Amino acid sequence: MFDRHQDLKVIKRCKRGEEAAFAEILQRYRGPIYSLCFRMTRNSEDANDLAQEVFIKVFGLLDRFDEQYAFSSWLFRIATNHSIDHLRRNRLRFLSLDGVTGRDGEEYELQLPHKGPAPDTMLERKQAIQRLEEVIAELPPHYKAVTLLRHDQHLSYEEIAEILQLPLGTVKARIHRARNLIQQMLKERAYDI
Amino acid sequence: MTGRKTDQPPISCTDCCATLQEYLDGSLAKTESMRVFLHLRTCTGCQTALEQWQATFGLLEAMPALGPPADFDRRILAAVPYESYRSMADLRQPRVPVILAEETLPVWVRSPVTRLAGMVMAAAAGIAMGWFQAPPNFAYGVVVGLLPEAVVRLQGMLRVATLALRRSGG
Repeated sequence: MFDRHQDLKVIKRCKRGEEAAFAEILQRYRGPIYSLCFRMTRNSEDANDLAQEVFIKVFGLLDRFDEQYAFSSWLFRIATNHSIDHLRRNRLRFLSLDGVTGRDGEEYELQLPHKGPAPDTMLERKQAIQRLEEVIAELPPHYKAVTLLRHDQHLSYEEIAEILQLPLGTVKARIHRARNLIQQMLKERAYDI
Repeated sequence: MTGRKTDQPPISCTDCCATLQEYLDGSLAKTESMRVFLHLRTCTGCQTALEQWQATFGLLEAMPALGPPADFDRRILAAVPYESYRSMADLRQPRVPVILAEETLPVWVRSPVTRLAGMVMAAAAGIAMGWFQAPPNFAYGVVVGLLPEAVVRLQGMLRVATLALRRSGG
């Protein structure tokens, strides 16, 4: 999906300290990385901070990047691990269902999903996707990560295995289990899929 | 009916439902995929399950792409320490032990003139021994003549090997 050889050329320029090269990396990957961070955290402010931290961390670690692997895999690995660490650090914050306190200390109500009709209009389709995103947000971090890498980033099983440094079978099993959980949760809440 | 299309036995409903994700994902082996396909043609229960999975996959694939805020790049580019990165370029290079550094050898040893002269001397000593039956102590001439070139080359090879090892994290 991402051009490995083109990435490598830009990385070499980056290592020489070319500012424009890093801007190019940023331009190429800001969307996917922000999207991954946002869907991992479901919070735009956290996603913004996490994605920025990921890029700054990547810049600092460029010399340790092993060029025999795809840069995109390395970048997604850092972003996934960083997001999972963030979720673990903030586990308590996500556990409360009565009310969630934002960074600014202001309390807001958690948007609990509600029953909905069959998604036969654009609005209903949008609502169905919204509900799906809510269900994904409740998955355990590792299941959430594989689901997003597969369905949000459209990566192959092999690419996900390289990113997460897991055997291919484990990745397939995890994605299978994650999708089972998603469907089960959608059914339990009596959503029309 | 299924027996005509494949040698494999028909798949059960339990097995069919368990493989529907892979069937839709395109990651099922061809023969397995065919068995599921044939089963689905005749089993309404599994067809319903398939429709539910199709709907779930449809939603998963329909998640919209998200973009970062407008000032995202600017904030990162402002935070990246290019100047210190560039100024520390030498420090980031993998190091080799002093004995393998090129500068450790005296300039006159590394000099192409010395190395060439040494090789000419070694060749002359070798020819004298081989063709003119020169005394055996001419062998010292061969050894001494080849020494500068051998030392420079050996040091170079060890330096390259050490750097490769360090770059690979060894």
